[in-house]
Amino acid sequence: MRDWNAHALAHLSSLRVAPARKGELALELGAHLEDCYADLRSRGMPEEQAYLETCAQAGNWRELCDEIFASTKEVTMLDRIKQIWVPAAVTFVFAYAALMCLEVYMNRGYLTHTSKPRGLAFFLPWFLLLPFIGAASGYISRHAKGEGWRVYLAASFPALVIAGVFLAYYVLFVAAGPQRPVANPAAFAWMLFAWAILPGVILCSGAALQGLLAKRTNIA
Amino acid sequence: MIRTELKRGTAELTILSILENGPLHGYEISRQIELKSGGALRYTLAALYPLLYRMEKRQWLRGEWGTGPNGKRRRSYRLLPRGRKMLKPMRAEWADLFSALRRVAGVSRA
Repeated sequence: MRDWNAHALAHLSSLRVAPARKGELALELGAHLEDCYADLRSRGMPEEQAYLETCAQAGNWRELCDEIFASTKEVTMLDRIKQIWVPAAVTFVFAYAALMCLEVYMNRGYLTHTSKPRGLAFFLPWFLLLPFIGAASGYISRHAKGEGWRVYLAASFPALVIAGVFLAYYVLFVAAGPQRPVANPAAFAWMLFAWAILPGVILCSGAALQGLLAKRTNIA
Repeated sequence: MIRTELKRGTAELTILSILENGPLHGYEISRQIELKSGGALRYTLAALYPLLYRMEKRQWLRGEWGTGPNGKRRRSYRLLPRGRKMLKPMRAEWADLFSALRRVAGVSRA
């Protein structure tokens, strides 16, 4: 009795996937070869010829490994939605809902200039909430098998949107006339930092922390 | 025998059509294709499985482990609504291609 599972596993040694996945693949491909061999034997083919025919059925194992690896890396539109756009929407909604709540229930104060330190009192609670929102985004993205830049793009999405709005606003005001106060480059840079860059970094650090914790939990 | 490059283009439609009649495992899929095509279409493991995994990822199919009649574990593939929806436009596309080839290259006279 030939062990087709072991045969498949030996040929999959160069495949770069998790060992559990490799075992599952070997089981499936081994079952295919076993069925093929049994079928050929049942049709009266001699043992040695059936073995050779079954081996030929496998085709090129190197090509098979490469193609399987490529298929695991293929990112479909559905993957993109689940890994980027769903967590991005969640981050966006929660980040700005939190900001709106703070604006309604706390003393209103925009941090538009460094000479207004009370602005920090407004931002601090929001900044304290952002890592949790970033972590939630990281969890949703990673749960959908998202990794690398996709996780961070989703987490920093609200910051990217606001940065885009600011840049468009600045370009329009500069075009309208440089004497407008908002066209002051220093004030603009500070607004960009306070509203987009810093929140973006905090959101991403929340997502990064969630990734570290998830990794540690998996190891444990 | 049909060349590999030609077969590759037809594989998605062939697999979806075979699974339209019910779930099958990998070997059954390849055997059914071979039988129904009169031996003209034969897929090796290297051609069949990566495609099945791709189609599964696109949610055209779902692979599920179960126990076969001989008590052994087998992974069978079932057509999902998304895959079923792909069949009609794929068939129309191939019909267009064949009618174009008939006009240009006279393939029906071969």
